[in-house]
Amino acid sequence: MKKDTLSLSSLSVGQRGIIGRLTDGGRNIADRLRDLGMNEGAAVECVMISPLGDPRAYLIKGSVIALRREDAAVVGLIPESVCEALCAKPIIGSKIREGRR
Amino acid sequence: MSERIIRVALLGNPNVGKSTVFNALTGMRQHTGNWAGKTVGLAEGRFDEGEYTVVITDLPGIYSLRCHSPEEEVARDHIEKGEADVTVCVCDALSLERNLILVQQAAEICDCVIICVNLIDEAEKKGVRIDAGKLSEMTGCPVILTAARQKVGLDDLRREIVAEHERSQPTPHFANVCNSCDSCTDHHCISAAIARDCVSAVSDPTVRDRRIDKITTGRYTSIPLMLLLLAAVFWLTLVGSAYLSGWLGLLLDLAAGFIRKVITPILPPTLTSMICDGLVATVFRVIAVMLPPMAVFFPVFTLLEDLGYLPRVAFNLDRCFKVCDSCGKQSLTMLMGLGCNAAGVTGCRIIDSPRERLIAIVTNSFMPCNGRLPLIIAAFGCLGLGAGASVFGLLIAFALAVAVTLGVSKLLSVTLLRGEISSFTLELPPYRTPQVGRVLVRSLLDRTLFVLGRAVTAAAPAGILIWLAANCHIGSRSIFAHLTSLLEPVGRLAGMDGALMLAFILALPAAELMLPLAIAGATAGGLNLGEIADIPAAFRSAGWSGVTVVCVIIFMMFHFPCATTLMTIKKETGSLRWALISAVLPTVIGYALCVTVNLVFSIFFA
Repeated sequence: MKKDTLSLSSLSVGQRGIIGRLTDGGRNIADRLRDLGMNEGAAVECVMISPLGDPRAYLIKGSVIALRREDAAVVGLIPESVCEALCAKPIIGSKIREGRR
Repeated sequence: MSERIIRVALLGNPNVGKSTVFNALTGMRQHTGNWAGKTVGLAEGRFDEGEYTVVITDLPGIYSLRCHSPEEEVARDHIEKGEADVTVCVCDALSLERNLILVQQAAEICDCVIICVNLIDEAEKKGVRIDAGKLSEMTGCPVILTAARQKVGLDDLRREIVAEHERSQPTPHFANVCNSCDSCTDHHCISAAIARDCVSAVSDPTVRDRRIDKITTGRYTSIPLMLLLLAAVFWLTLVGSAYLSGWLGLLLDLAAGFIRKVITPILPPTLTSMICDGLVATVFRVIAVMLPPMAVFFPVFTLLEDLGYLPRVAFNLDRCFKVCDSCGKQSLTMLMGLGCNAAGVTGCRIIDSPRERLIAIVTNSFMPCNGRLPLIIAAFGCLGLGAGASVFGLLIAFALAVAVTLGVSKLLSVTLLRGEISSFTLELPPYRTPQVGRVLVRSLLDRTLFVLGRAVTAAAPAGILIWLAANCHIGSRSIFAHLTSLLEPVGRLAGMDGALMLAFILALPAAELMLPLAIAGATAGGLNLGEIADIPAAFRSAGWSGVTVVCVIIFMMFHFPCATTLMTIKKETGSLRWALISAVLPTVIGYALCVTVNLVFSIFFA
């Protein structure tokens, strides 16, 4: 039976997930994506979509990176981790302080 | 006193303000825009600290030292060869976790690493704080917090560079970071652990950016906003430069009169005429029409750049370019080409794939640069429709240029430049307040110098040549007249005339020569430094019909790029063949369009 192949390209705006495996398919983009912060275990959120439908932009480790659908498909997600961003903590990879700024 | 030198390399991700740090430390002028990939090539500068002279090299912004691109290779080579005594890794306080990946890679190669956390001011505004002490403890590197735009922290950085160099025993880097796993070498794991402990935030710092992005990339608002901004830029350039041209024209008129008064008694009349009617008239006219649009367009463009809006444009339009087997970043190089084609060609370095870069380079000259705008605007003026209609006309012309660019990009992709569609990653930086005052001043200075430089190197000799051609006679007619009649059939076929064809050919050195040359042609070689506003009238009295105007506009947009651009293309591509293709392709297209328009007009309207 085929495993769940949920990838970054299936996230709609406002959804987030944890990155699983990166499959390359011979395009050498997996390395580039890891350099941009998309490694296994990192939290990622889809924050924008282009008015023409493609590419989408993803928030990863505090930066926003735009990726086309076929490139985002390289990044696998852990299916159980996908949820709506509104109910989760923000992705800034840091601790939240109490009190005023 | 012996001069002791410390060599420093500035390393960091794109868009972390590395070049701002560089400028602030060295006082050098180097333009920095707010989108990833702006600094190309290695800039060097120096400053003195104590008894040392520190030489800094600004490396290109890269995401990793693993050599996926020429920029990464350049940076890696520089550091590996030991060209630097101290490596300063510049990080953005708001994306420290990712920046630390590169820092770790650098720490594996260099002994002396300083971490400079920049854009502290932006982080403060968004409620994010960095614990410099903890960061230094965990990484084993000295940490300096800076806000280079506000010149904060730079003295500390200068001192630390010297201190680090003088340190005899470098501390081990990233030694005891990860408590959860034993000998952890995973850079991502280590970065995450460090960020968790050293970065703290009150709330989500990306909230404001997302709100703005809803407008700039929203389904119903993004494209109207882009069109509105474009129209605003065109309108400002048209109206603003019309005023400025008027003022400048008056000023230069006075100067020209003064020069004439001074040299008339000294030199023979022929020489006087050559200098005043040839050299001075051409140079001054070029300055008067060229400087105002550049003085408006470039500051506005730079402000949008600094704001961080331009990558959103590439994001919005990428799909169109993907259809043409090209890349969304080409939209940015096209915008740069709107200011200056040579700058647009150099800017194509932001495109990673060599194939797509070549497509962007070859098609860049379809964008009408500032040098070509004055004649296009004057041509619109001939139609006598007023400023509003001219803006509308400009937008239509722009749309045509974009359509042709996309079409030719697709054509190249299926013929000469066939290949794989490459992957496309674009970082959308946070919106940052542009420093309006500084941008205006520096932009103005840069552009003024550029225009004056071109005026001296291209317009001055051209002015003398035009005068000679108009006043030297072979047989009964001047050289000008001979050449004009030679080119008459070629010109007539395309709805213009020989004089205009000659003007296009002679304007090869610089596009802005087109206007004085066209005027010379229209006034049959007699050059009067009259008022700028009279130009459309001069054209009308020279018999420019509606067809001529349209064909002039079309050919002005689609013909060979200027010599500077061609040389830049040769340099960027390393190939004479591509420079030639870049010259021939637009000319063929432009000529064919003009012939078609002329034909259609003569069939249906004559």
